[in-house]
Amino acid sequence: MKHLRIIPLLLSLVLLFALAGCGQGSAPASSASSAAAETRTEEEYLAEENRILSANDGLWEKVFASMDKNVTEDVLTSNYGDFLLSAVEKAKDQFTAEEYKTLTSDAEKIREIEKKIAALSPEDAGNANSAVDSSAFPDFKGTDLDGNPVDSSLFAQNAFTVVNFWFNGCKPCVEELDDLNALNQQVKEQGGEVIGINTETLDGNPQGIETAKQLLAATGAGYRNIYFDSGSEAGSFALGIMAFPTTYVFDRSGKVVGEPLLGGIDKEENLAALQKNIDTALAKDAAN
Amino acid sequence: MDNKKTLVRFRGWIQACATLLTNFHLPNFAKGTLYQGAGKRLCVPGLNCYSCPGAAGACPIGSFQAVVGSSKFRFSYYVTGTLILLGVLLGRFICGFLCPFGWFQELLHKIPSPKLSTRKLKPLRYLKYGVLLVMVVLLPVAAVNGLGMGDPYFCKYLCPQGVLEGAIPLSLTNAGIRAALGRLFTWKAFVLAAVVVGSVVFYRPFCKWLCPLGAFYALLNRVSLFQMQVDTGKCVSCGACAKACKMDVDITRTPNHAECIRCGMCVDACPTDAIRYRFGLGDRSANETKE
Repeated sequence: MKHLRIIPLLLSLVLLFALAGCGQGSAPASSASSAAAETRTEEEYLAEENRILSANDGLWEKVFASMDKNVTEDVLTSNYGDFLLSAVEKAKDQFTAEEYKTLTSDAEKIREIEKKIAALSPEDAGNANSAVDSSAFPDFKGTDLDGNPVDSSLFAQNAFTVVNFWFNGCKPCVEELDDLNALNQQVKEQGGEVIGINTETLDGNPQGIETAKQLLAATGAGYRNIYFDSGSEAGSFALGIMAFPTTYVFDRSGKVVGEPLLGGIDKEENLAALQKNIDTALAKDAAN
Repeated sequence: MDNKKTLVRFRGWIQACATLLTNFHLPNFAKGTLYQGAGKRLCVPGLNCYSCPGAAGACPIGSFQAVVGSSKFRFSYYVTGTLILLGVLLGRFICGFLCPFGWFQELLHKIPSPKLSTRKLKPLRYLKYGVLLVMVVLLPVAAVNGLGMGDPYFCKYLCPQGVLEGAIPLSLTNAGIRAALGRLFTWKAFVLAAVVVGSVVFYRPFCKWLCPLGAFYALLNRVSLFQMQVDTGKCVSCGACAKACKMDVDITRTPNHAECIRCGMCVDACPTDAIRYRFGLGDRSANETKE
């Protein structure tokens, strides 16, 4: 009889633990390390590519500046070395024969490394692709809250782009919307723009968009707010952010400038930190 | 086999398992990221910060404040319902067996030091009801900005578990968060330090005096299905149970006192095995006759 009495207790314990434990573990990327024992990892290869590119930094900057900004699907799937080669080919007349030779040989080295990367086990490559690269904003196609299409080319239109990540239930985020609007007005002349990304509006969630629009209207914020698919790379970038509000500054090529700012710019020291990133981006843009 | 003491004997293990299950996304500690999946829609029974990298679910107190403090909702029916369900099922058994922060304080109390009694500090117990009413319910609802948004006052200004599980591990791995730490962090780190030092010399000071979740379960302790039962026929009124109780409860007089966390130290101390756990509906005398 005594044993019977303990059963409901144990059952409810099991239920409680089940309640606490029903989230799925986010799969740790442990498979990468097993492959690393025999060959080098993709990260190491990529690091080597970066070393090659940075050795002739100035030349490559010129090549990148000459590139078509609309990077498309086939670029992402084709060999990056080939892509660089064709870019060098197109910008050929900007360089001396010697410079051209250096660039071509760099690109060929990278093509070889890319082949090695492709030869790595497919799951390994998959892991690397799904990991979010936090140094640049991923290419994306989306719309603003009014349904007008936007894509990654928006970065190229300005010397710098301030991107503010927020959500509707976040009090400090909502409280800086008017300050962000003022900032947008102010940076327009400097060739900058403020963009808002509200994580509740991703995938065009109608309720999220409606509330976001109300909040933007109530705070008088008129700058662009955009969304895209949560499953896209840009979606992972946005959803990978854990503290809100977070404000990034991106340069003309969509690369992150400085450290992202956590906290609202209605606080003076935060605004100063953001301004520092903006100044860095402007200086960088003027130099190119 | 003496099954009424089994729970007591394995309490430390149960606490460890509960803490691990509540925070089983262990790799996130190294990555400095949070699990944000579907599990976070559910509340865990104990006080366990949503922003702990390992957290499998949401903190009921944090969720409650987030919902009532949002511009959309006035009251959090779902969280309150969950809390009432848990409270009715288990009451403060959750404090004694399942709460990670309770376990943390108990472990600290094992550190050798002069131990002080809290018997004379009983009036401080009522503070936690004030914390629950003012910081968790009233301020998030009432102190709102023009858009009807309030702050989670308890999380923001008082909760030491948030610093321990959220701010500290995240700032260790995330430079942005480290840079954002300010005066508020200093204040809350001070609260945590006070609770840590307090826990070494007192038994569970945060549970006794400040915890709003404990306060909520305390209100339901009397009606919870999980109860303590004293067999008056076996009791020899030796007072060993009251002496053993670190929550300052005399179990023979008030077996379902709001402060009883069902830790079972009295069960263990009783020389005549007169105290035991009872779970379920039904009246006491009926159970007695079945024996």
